Amino acid sequence: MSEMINYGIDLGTTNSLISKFNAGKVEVFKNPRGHKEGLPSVVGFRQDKILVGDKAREYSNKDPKNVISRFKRKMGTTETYRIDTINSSKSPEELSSLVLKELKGFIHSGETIDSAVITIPASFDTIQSNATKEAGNLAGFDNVILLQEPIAASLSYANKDNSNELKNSQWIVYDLGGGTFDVALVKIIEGELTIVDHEGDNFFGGTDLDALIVEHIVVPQLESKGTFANLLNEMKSSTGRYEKEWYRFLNAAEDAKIELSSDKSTEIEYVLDDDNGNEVEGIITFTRSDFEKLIKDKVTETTQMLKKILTRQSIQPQDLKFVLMVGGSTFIPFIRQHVEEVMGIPINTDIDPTNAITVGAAFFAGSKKKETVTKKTIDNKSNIKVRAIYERNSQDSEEMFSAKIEGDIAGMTYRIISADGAFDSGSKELKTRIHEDLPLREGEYNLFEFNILNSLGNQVHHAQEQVQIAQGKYSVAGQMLPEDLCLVKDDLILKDTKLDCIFEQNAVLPSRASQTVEAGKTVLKDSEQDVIRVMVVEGSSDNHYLSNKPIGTLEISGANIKRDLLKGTEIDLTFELSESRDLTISAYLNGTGQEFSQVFNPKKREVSPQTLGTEIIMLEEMIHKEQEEAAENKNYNMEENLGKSLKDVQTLMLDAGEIPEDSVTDEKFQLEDKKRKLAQQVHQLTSSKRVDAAKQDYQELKGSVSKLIQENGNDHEKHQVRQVIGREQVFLMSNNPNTIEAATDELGSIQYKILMRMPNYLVHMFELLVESRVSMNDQIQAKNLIENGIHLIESESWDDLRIVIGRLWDLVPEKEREADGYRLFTGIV
Amino acid sequence: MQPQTKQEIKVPKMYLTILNHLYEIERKVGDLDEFKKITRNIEKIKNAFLLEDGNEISYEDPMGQKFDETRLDLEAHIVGTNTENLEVIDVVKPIIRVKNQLLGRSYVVQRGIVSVESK
Repeated sequence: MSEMINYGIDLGTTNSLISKFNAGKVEVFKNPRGHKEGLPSVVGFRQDKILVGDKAREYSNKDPKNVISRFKRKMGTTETYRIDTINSSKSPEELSSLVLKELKGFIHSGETIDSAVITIPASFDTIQSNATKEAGNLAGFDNVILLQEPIAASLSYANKDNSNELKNSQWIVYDLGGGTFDVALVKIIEGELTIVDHEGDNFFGGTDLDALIVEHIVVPQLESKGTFANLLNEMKSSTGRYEKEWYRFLNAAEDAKIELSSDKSTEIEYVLDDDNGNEVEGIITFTRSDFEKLIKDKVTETTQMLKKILTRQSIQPQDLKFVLMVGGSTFIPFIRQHVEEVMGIPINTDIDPTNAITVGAAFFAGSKKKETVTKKTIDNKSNIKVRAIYERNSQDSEEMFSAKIEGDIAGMTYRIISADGAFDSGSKELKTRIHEDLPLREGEYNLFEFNILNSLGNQVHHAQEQVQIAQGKYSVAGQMLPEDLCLVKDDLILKDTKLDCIFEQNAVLPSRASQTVEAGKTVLKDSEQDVIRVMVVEGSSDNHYLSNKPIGTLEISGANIKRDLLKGTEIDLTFELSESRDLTISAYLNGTGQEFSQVFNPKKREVSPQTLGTEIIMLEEMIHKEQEEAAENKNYNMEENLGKSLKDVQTLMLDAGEIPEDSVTDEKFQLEDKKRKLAQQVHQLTSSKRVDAAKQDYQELKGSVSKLIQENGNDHEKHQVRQVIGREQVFLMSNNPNTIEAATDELGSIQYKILMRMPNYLVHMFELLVESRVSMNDQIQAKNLIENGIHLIESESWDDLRIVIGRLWDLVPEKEREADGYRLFTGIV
Repeated sequence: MQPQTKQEIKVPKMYLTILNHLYEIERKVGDLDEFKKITRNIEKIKNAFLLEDGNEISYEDPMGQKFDETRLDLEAHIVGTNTENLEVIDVVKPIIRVKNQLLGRSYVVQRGIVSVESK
């Protein structure tokens, strides 16, 4: 176990976060019961359970006697909160300790922690600071180090890339979060970071800006479109007629606010009935400048607080190194601009403002040794026995879970959470017998974690931590599919067929899948020869289809269709696999509006001598092609082995030619088996070829993109490339050429995006297009565009040049993409 | 960077945006007769949301469902003063789940944003 504290906690007024320092980096833990990093600092008591975070916040306005928020600023006071449900009172320290215990649950490694650095506002006095320590102790932290929030944010910046020098300087930390605003002057005095002065507003944050949008933009617009007597009050009152709309518009306003950080204008849609019952609907469009006018006064108030500090400290903005921006609301461009304008010095947006405080706390924790403290006797070793009783298989939408607990359970709580992220029982007191109704998802394996926690919020391990209930079709262990079932399609690039997996190996039956394909050729009405084949084979999708077992082919010929089926028409395919593995293939032709369907039973194998013959010819052609390639690459060993397979295939061809189409003997099945084995042989001989080529393409492109991105990529593109490279172990190891090619395509499109911003590339591309002007479709237009392009290059108008290039591209005649001489086999692509 | 836990499936934000809008389209045109003409297109768009490794992504409309504090798949605004016997009366965003057919399990990747009211 590490000697360092390593864990940093931002115990915020509105939101709290936890993070860990590990090997020079900080990981901010995600809320396992939410989809964000943060946890709302709200605690609720509902019947027999305690709720902390999002769920408690939902009830905070409507059940204030049982749900408490904003208690942090009351720490160290004598104030307590009377809770109706439990008929007792809780101190702010006790409530904070519940938030801290909940944060412990974010640590996915299951590690039990007894030390942490916890941040406090700059305004906290000694009593409030001690109260925070007490909250930490109540939550099982023997060792609590306090750190002021502005210092934590500064540390986050100083430690970023280990390259930020702050010696002999002072700066402002401007922290505008969701619900509070704080500003502090930080200075290095005798080598130590110190807060010299601070100001703040406990009741102003980003959520107030959302409300301003609804009050001053949405409501007046609605009032001008319909008849509303007192719309705003009816929205904001908990008994108001339009309360539902208040929440809807607040949500839309938040989205609009975020959109305005990147776009110049945004929209909010509305549909509601006015007082007379008439529907009022439309779209409110407003611009970034409208939003800025709206928030200007509130933002000015924050900069006035900042100026107050400067006046009090008799310093000029120029004496400051920068203003460090912290808190999610500082993403708003106007706030950044306004602070910069008022101060006349640069603002610093180098750190992630949403988690800077916890990250700084973790950096600090990584440098602080744990103090040796006398351990309390409470530990998390299990001295309890749990006997769980519940149905493992159920047909119901809910199942009762009961458990009998033996041992010393004083002060313990339990909590049951579903693995899918949809259910949380809340923390409840552990009794000798417990019962819980668990909701089940239809047709799924429902997994739940049954956690028992001691009085310090640490997990007590026991034998029944996982509860598994199979609902519906899984109640009888569902039959598994032994191998992949794949659809055969034509591959125009490789001039061959390819396999798309429809049902993966081990899929539980029954199962259903659908896919939309395109007709690869035109099928003329009444033509017997033109056929579309929807062909399903069993076996790995990495194989060539000839190596796999045919399960069924739905054939649609020109004779069956009402009108011509044009090339490129979409065909919707549905595949249904019953528990007894009957396969139903249905095809809906969008062009003709017809649906075809056929059931195939794999026990009744159907082999058509004609199809078998075609397949053997394909196999022969394939071997010829591979032989040529092997000879070109001087791979004589492979060439020789392919030669042996070719002889066997030719013998097979002769045998197959002798079978009549209506043969009733087993011979056609035997020959089909032989063909499959031969195809497998060929596949094994050549399978590594495409994978190697795909890997090589990927590595080459990765090299060139990595160089390009370092010099010319933006943060988003760098992140995208890092994500692709981060996955490469998985896709390169998959040995599936399609997966590797998909990753290469991803890199390719990022590369293209960057290149299209680079003047040199644009000029080069323009020159190439100029060279091919003679073949362009509209010569007059081409001439004009080229003249315009030359002018744009001279004036370095790259954005306009990009448009000209796009238009010139449109004039290049589309090349015929039909694969020369390739005979489509299935007719679907 | 956050290590990926077994429950955590990365879904590009773009997918969530498209599905949220698709849900809205479906809801807006739901009452119209002309809707039938585009049902097939909507279903096809929904079916196109397949992620790697056999994961399907789809939305679920919680309208009319019961709500209480155990529902982690919903982010609710409570309308009115009563906090018991709550039911979803308005859906701002649907629940989005990723389902793995092979494992027979699904995960919530976007909580539904709803208003609930006592019935």
